[in-house]
Amino acid sequence: MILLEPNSYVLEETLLARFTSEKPEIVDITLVDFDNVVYHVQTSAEQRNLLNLSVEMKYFNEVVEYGAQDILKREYGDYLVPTANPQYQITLQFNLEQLPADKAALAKHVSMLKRNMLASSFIRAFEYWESQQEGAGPLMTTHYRDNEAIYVQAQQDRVTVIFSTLFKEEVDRVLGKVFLQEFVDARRQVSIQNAPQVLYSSREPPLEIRHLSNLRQDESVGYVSFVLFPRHFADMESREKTISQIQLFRDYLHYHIKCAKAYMHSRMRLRVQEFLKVINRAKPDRVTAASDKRTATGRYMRPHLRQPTSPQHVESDW
Amino acid sequence: MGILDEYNFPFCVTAHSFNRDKSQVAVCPNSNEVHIYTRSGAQWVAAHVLKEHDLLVTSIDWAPQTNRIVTCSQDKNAYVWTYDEPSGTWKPTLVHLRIHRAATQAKWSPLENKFAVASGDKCVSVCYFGEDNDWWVSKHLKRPIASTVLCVAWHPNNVLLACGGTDMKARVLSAYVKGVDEKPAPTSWGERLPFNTLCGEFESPAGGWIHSVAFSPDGESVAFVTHDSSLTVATPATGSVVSTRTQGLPFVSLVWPDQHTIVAAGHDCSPVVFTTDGASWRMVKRLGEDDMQRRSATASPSNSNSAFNLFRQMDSRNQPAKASSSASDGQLKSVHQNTITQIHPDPAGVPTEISTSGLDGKLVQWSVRA
Amino acid sequence: MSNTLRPYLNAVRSTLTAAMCLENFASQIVEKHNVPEVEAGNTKEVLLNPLIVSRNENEQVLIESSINSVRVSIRIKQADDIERILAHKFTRFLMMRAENFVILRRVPIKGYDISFLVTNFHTEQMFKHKLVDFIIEFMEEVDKEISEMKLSINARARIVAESYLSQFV
Repeated sequence: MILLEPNSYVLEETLLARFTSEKPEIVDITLVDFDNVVYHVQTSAEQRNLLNLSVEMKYFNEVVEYGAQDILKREYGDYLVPTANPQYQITLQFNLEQLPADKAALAKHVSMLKRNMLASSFIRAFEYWESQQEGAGPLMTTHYRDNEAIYVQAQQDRVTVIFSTLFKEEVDRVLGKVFLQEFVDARRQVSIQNAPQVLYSSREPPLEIRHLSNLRQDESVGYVSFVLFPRHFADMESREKTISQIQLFRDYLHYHIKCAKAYMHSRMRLRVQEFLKVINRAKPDRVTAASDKRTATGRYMRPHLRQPTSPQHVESDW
Repeated sequence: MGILDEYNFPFCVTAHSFNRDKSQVAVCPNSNEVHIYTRSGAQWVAAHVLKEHDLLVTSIDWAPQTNRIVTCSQDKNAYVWTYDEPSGTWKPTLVHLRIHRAATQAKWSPLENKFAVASGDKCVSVCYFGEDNDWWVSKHLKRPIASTVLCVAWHPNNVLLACGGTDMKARVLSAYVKGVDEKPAPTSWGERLPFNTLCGEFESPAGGWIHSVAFSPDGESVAFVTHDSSLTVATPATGSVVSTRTQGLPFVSLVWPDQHTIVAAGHDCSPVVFTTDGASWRMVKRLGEDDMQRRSATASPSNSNSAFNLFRQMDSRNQPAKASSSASDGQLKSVHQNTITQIHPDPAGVPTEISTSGLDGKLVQWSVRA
Repeated sequence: MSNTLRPYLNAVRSTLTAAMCLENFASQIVEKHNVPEVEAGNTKEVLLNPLIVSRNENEQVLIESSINSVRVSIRIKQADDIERILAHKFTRFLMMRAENFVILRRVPIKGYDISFLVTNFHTEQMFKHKLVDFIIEFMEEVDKEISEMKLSINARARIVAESYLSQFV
């Protein structure tokens, strides 16, 4: 469980269960994914054999600019409903009686929806690189969370991806620094020298995006730049792989920061127990012949250890 | 020299006092009660519970001749308990102490017609029985005491009183009560001794709270132990004030059983014997060390439950401490395993026997014969 | 164990042993009260001089004693941000469980990371020499625990970074 999957497993499972069930049941399920994406799986009100999947995606308007609509048509054209349900950006409809033979593949494919939408700016950048134009391409911003964004920009010989991420607590910030430093250092190893170059700065935004207004500049913000080289996206196969991995970076990082914190917590719990044992050793075992009385449950009667007596304001007679 | 008797109570013994023939002992289990135990073979059997105080009982003194017990407590009161033969119970009589802070120590005078109660009210109440109103009444020794009095001791002549406390000075004062005491013969402490005469004021070279005081059996000297781990002996006749510093932790209690021997005990957990060559005092030995060595040498492995206890201890308390200040099994090398709270001379006046009680619940009787 | 830690801990152990010579002492200010004099601080003559045992400017122990209580405050070594966070988290974790530890103070003295308050009631109910053992062991273990946690976080970060980046190869 070190790496994260690009698709939404819970969505895949939910859909597959509906796709394969003998008798269509009425369902109304809301699921969530990374980056505040919400899926709503619901049986159509009129027809039981119709299953609607609506997706709420805050940054949909942004990705549409980078060609998300085309991707949506290409990948899910058969199921796309022209107008999405209110408050959702995308609605897909499945007729449970007319599904393709490989239902599992369909469920898997649909569960990649969020990944495919977020991929649009990357695909745009790679296409720009393919066109061999002079100079840098447009800077494409996707605000995948509130106050956090992915910036993608193509250059002649490379594509730069910048994440801005927010560390809410000081602990996260310090841990994040440790983790990111390792990302920077890891490339020194021979086996992963071909990985994208990673640069990390906190507070100071990198050159590519410095001109943007409304950038937060305080201790809680971190900027991570990945420099992708043609070997990461020249052929279609590695391109898809790269997109899947790179867009999960922020989730991957925060997931492991949380895991590290949880581990620290359990470690401290253990250590506290050890300390308690040490201090318990200081308490004398006062069982002697005189106090060797047992209660009905077989416990020893322990002498009454007096706590500091609370002052009693009882005035004596004079 | 060694242990005559050792008994482990299941509570901290903060004060103790034997009756004259040591067939009974009054102990304070670190609470507002006083328990009286009766000897039965090797055991002490609970006989009476004296329950009149509201707060911690700080001191118990059992008068050997008149068989009366005086107890005092942090609740500002002291009681004189007398044994009522027909009903077989101890009857309390409240003492009119007139103090407004905790009482810290109570001691019968040698003739047992008076007792002194030290207190946090920066005074010592000298109590005597007022025949007129059938009531224990008191007079206060106030000057020049500046802080809580922790300890008192009577001079053999029944008049002079030594006290010491957190003002770091040991003092000898006159507790002469007109109508109760005979006019005392002049001593090296003074000729005319009206109430509250200051006959001497001493301190240890490094200062420190005075935890315990005692007069020598001949009454010519006064000894006190201080929080700077020293023993100081002052003799007004020669004007000498001799201090002996020790390496250990402070003493909290001392007795002067015979003219050439002082035994002090406290936070170091073993009583220490001092002797004098006439000029200075020297520490000669710690009581109980031989006994403990002998005991560990002959510790029988046949204790059937020892393995069980060992594993149970390992489970509930983790494995034994690695680098602890104590011996390998976490036990101190002394007989007492925690601070000794009180050391008492023999009630019948045998100079070679003393008793100690400690926070570890042990009540030990020792022989200090050289 | 480095060669300066041993004498430092030995000095703390001896000082604590001497400082923990406590007795029951009722307040001479307020009647029928019995408070830790080191906390009350209103009776000067029953307070002893405070004492600092210091290994270096970042690691020191402040021992304040009085007739019936002693306060021990520890400053834990914090070389960098991560150690500071770990020390802070750890001490907070402990202090939230103060009632189990009996002698732990809920709030440390200013300038220190953690404080213990040992009163005569503690030395009466527990063996004094083992209370000292506890504080010494605590000091040893806290340093060890923090450096181990730091190592484990660094190791974890390395594995996380490597396995992420190796996907691109």
